[in-house]
Amino acid sequence: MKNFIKAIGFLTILLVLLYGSSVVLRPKNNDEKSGFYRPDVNGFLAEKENTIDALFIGDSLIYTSILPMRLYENYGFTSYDLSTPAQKLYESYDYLQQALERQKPSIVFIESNCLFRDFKIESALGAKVTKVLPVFTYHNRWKTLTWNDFVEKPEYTWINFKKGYKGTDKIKSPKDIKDYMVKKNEKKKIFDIDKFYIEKIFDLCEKNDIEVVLLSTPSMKSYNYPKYLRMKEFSEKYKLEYLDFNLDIDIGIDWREDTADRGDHLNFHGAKKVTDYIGKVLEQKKLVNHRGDERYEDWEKSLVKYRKYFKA
Amino acid sequence: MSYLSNTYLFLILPVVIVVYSLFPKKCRWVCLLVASYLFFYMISGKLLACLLFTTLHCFVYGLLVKKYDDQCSEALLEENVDKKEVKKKYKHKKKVALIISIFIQVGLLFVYKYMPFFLGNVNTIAKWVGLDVELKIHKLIAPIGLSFYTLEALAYMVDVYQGKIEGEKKIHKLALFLAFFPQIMEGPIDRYDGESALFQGNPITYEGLCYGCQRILYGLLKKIVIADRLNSVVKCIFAVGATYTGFTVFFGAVCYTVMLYMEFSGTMDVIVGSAEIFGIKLPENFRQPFFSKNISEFWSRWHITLGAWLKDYIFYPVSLSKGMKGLTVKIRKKLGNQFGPLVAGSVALLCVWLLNGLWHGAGWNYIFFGIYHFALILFGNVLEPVVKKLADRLKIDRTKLPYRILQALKLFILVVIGELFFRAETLSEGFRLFSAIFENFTLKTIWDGSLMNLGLDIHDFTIIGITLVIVFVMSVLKEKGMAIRETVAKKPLPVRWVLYLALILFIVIFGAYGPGYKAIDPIYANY
Repeated sequence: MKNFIKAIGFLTILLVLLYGSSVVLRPKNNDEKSGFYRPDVNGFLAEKENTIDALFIGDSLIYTSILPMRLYENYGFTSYDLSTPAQKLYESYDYLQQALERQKPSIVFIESNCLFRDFKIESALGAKVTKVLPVFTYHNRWKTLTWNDFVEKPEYTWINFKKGYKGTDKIKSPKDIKDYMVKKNEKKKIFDIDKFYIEKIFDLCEKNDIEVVLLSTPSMKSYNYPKYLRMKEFSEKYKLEYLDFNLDIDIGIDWREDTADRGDHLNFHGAKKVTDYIGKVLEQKKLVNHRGDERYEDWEKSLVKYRKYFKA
Repeated sequence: MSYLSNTYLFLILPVVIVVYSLFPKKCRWVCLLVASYLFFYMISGKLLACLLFTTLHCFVYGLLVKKYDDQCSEALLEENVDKKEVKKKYKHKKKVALIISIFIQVGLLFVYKYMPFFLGNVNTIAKWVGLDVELKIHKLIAPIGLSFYTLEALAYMVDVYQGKIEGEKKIHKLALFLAFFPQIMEGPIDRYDGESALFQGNPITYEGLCYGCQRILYGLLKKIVIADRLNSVVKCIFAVGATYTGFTVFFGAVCYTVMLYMEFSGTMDVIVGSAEIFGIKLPENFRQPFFSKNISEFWSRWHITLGAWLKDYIFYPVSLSKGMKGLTVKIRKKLGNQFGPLVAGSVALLCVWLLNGLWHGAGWNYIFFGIYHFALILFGNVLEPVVKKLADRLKIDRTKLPYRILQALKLFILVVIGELFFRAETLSEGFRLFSAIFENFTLKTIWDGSLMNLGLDIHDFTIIGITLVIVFVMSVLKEKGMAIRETVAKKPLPVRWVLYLALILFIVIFGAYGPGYKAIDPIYANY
């Protein structure tokens, strides 16, 4: 019993020290200069409370296919790409949960490619630990620590004018497209762990009165017929709207011009086509046009930067 | 998965510890065996069948040898039998069983590990001699830890044959010995002992838990703070197509040597520490190798269990074989008593080092690595009397510190050169890297900032330096025979806790993990 108490005492002190280190080492702002991990996606932390209408969740297919600033420019809808490379659904869930702490979007788009990505439960548990004790993510900031890190509280002020978009205007055409979406009589498997997390995401959206739309953005490498069949079945099972840009919806993707890496991801030209279609979908869903609203002054500033950057 | 992964340290090990504690003493082996098979299944999947086959093979072989022994004893009790003949007959039977068994186990190892290398060389030779034949090369995925448990199985078979141990009648004991989860991936290569603590179901004590965790922490310090940090420098310099020259290449080889030592010995600390929690003492694999006087001693302190295995099952059988004894007698007559036995020993040594090189991998660079060390040891043995005479004449005290430092420096450089070939992708790449050292060699590289372009900054090098000092001090204390953990255990509780907490925080903060770092895959698990 004495040893048990000693062990508990030791672990308590250790946890206090790890928490203290986390307080010191976590970045004090959400930008790259402050050492924030993945600032592109975490730019949403600086968005004003309750100003985002739509969220796009998923892997690189999202941040190369959806241009939130174009949606704002053309329709006045505010949105953000909560997407990271090879995003797993536990990450999607965490980002969504974090976003909902300050935002009340009415619609969430989920890139279906994440449903086919396997991961281990340990990774999801590890992510939970690093969320509580960010020292495990930001330990390397010891190299750039200043006195302010010991006394300042974090304040997220960096606004990402691209709103999570990370695409490029480079063109690299695929060699051939003959295997793309060729009909097959098989359905791609959705892993159990993905089912578990996607249902958690659905529950979270339901609790917050958010509409869910499943999305398969154009990608010659990530999509195939077995995935399409499975997603059709999946969306019917959960009675969800499913937008498939690989087979169902023709937005005029020209693979000679619209891809940056031989058909895996879209480039800026391709992203414009997807975004324009999404804009029409959102218009039908009667989202509010925020152009000219004073509360969205930051979005207007971002629009200026966006136009300058993309010469759009 | 490695022994230093979160999955092992924070999920598998703690769960097994809890379940093991809940089992009654008599059945704890069941817990360890199930855990070991589950662990093996997690890392090698269906290849678990290979391990099960080797276990069954060892078991059947042991029973067969025991049966022959019993039959031999019974036959010897009979009247009017030629005892010599009976013994010879059963010895022959046992020998046949042993040879077939070795052939099967080595065959499995060959198929999984060496077949592509062998077929590749056959194709090359066929091309040389103008034959229009090309054998198809299929690379099989080998079960993790194959080289380790096969050597343990072979040792068991030879020991049973030689009568050092009896063939085990309880298959679960053999199964647990071969599969014990903390050592299945990277050793140490243990010898079978039916009375080992492995089967006794020792309780998990507070002391064992503390000591085990301390050892694991020390391993994490070496692996996460030093080895994983040096990985980026090593990958950069040894990358195919990289064109570094001069001191930078030498620095890369030094970094790789340090990385390899820290990775392997750090993993060993985690393995030995894990076993210690269950009250099981595994053999040590490292004993401050860089404090050795020469290469020969170095290899008796580095990967000790592999060295001991090669000594017992290759060196002695070869050097003491009838053919070698005859050869020694002949050569002794020609070369005299000093160099005569050296030749026979050298042949055995060459076998040891060829196999040592091949064990590490199927590639000509590994074979060269073995031959390189063989040559160093051979020259060391030949030159030792000359060096001794010279030192006596010049009145140099070889036990004094300056001489010892020079000796350690020479040893370190020789080891670094060997590791350069070991790490190179191919033998020709190894030679290219070695000759690149002598191109544009200048010590200016140390301070002109070139080393800062290899993926690490000055902060990283500072942390590596500090941690190496910590490891060095610990090694000196161990070398002097100090029982460090026992000494710390005698300190008052606040002192101990401050030490442990400082070590944990040091690893958490200064560890090379997370964004920007790529941990090394377990190097020795692939051997």
